[in-house]
Amino acid sequence: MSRFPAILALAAALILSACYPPVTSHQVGTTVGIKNDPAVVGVWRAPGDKEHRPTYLHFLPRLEGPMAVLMVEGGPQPDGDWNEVSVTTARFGTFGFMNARLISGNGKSIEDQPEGTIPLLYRFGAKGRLLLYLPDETATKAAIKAGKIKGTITDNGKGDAVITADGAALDKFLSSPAGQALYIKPTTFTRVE
Amino acid sequence: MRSTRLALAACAVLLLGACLPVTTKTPVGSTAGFANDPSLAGTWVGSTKGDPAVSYFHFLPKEDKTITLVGVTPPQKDEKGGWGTYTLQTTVLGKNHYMNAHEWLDDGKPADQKAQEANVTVYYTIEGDTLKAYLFDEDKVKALIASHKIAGTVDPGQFGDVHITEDAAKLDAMLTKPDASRLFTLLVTLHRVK
Repeated sequence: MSRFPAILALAAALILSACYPPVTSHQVGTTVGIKNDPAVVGVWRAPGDKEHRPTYLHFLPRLEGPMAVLMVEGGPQPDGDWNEVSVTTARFGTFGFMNARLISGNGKSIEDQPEGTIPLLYRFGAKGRLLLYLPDETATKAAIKAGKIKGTITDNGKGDAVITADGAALDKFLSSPAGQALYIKPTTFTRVE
Repeated sequence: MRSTRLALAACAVLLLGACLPVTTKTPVGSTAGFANDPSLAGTWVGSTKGDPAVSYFHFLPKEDKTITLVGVTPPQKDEKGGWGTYTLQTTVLGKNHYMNAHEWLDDGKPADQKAQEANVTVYYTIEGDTLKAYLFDEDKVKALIASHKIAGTVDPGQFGDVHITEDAAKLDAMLTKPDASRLFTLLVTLHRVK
């Protein structure tokens, strides 16, 4: 598996991830329209716990193109990470997807990452909380192996899962119960007013 | 004029216009040494006087005795927001706390060379969960330079940049004085995000 730089804090859980999350070679949402979701714009915070720092997400729309997302670790401990991610969004009714690609970590460009974008699922929970889900790597690989969705698992020793289905097939699958089953545990963010 | 409106303590002026704040040739505190001020660490929020735009300031201490400051202004009514990063060194002279700030990135792109090379001094106070940051008052520094009380230069033109070129020992001695804060003007008031 690719060494996942411990800087993708798009969800706080990612910080401890040892390998790169599954990616899609096409962006999710081409059939419904990829556009910046104003509901996510602003500042969000995951509180952290004994093992994790609090994490802030700043969603900044641009005049055109993907949003810039700044992910910054909080807390007083030294050497907190901060990262820039490029994100597009697409809404499928009550949920949506973010197509995320790392741009830089701690100010340095990130070159060692698979082609494509990470398809994060998002929902809004009670009290306007933002629930972000990474695709579960094991479930994604199982879906690929079972032929539920077209994709590859690299044999370069890293074992990265890449969903290669085209836009229509991708949207259909990920918005179906089988696709939603790839998303298991969310990280919860609260809007910072 | 840049697109961002980051109300960043050391650099609001940089971001709002072409002029630099007052710069120093040597970092303030070089005779005393630099050590990260732990009380800065974490996230602060606030705005500059008269500006409704709220900005977030993430102070990330590093092991190399510098602090990375990530400043983000969320989108406002008529603004898309923006972000920038800065490298800070903190020092204490007498009872006065200072930061030396160097701009690093502006909306993800390297800041222009002039801004990167500029050493901007920030005087600051922390009382409880309130952080106040001050920049040199340009007019007062100009007056000191004109009266030869401190070595410095003023670039030509109405908005010429002001540079303090005094050597480290004299600069630090001046800023150690209890009334050194009189040379500064309030830039931003921040509150700790808990």
